[in-house]
Amino acid sequence: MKEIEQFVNRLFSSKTQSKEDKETVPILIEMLEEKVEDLKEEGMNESDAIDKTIAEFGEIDDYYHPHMDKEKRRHKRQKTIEHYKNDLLFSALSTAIIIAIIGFVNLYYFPQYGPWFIVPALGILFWPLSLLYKLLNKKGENK
Amino acid sequence: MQISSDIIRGHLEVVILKLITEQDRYGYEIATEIYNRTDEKFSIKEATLYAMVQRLERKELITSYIGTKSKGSKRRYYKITTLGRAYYKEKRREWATLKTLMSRLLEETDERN
Repeated sequence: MKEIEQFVNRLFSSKTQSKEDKETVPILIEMLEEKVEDLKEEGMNESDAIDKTIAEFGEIDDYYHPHMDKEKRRHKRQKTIEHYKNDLLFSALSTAIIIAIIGFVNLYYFPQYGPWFIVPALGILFWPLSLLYKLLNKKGENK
Repeated sequence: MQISSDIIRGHLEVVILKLITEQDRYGYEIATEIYNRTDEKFSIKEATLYAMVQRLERKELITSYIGTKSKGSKRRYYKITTLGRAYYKEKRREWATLKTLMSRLLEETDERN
């Protein structure tokens, strides 16, 4: 039953896999295949049984947080967004300060070499940019 | 009336243990039993069930083995351990206390209204 294997592998591919997760994947596949077998024994054809099994599985968050209700999980994600926002603010301010210092050193002490501070400034800009990217991704996940 | 899954969620581990205490069962059989015994009012999502079963196994409250179903097909059966049985009894006592407390609290509220 390739569909079941693909489904479980896809579920776990979006998460960083711990050692426990790696042990879980084959057992989960086995359990879902057992369900398909049961449904087939009840008279359902294989393709319908696979569809039903996949549809009734639930979300990967139900697996990772079986005791937590949806509202709490959403709240947990919101908190993460707040964290990303703080990270972004911190990185933006730090980047501005660092660029200002490099710019000052460049223009005040070494004006004869031209505006070379632009090169490290561009490099350091990737710090807030990468955090902005993560924040937007996180917001996208919540929609 | 469908039961809100949030209310029952915290007690599902004990429910699963109870079903396995009665006899060795495999994953989907547990899900079906829960559905049938609640008169089709509550169905556990497989993701939740499998996560709980695996956690119970990691805590050594249950163990698993590959068995044969009546029609000859293989299934992974779960069996209660001595530790699991003791844990289940403890949780049953907790549940009995909670049930008494909740009935008292809710009955009192009803009378006031």
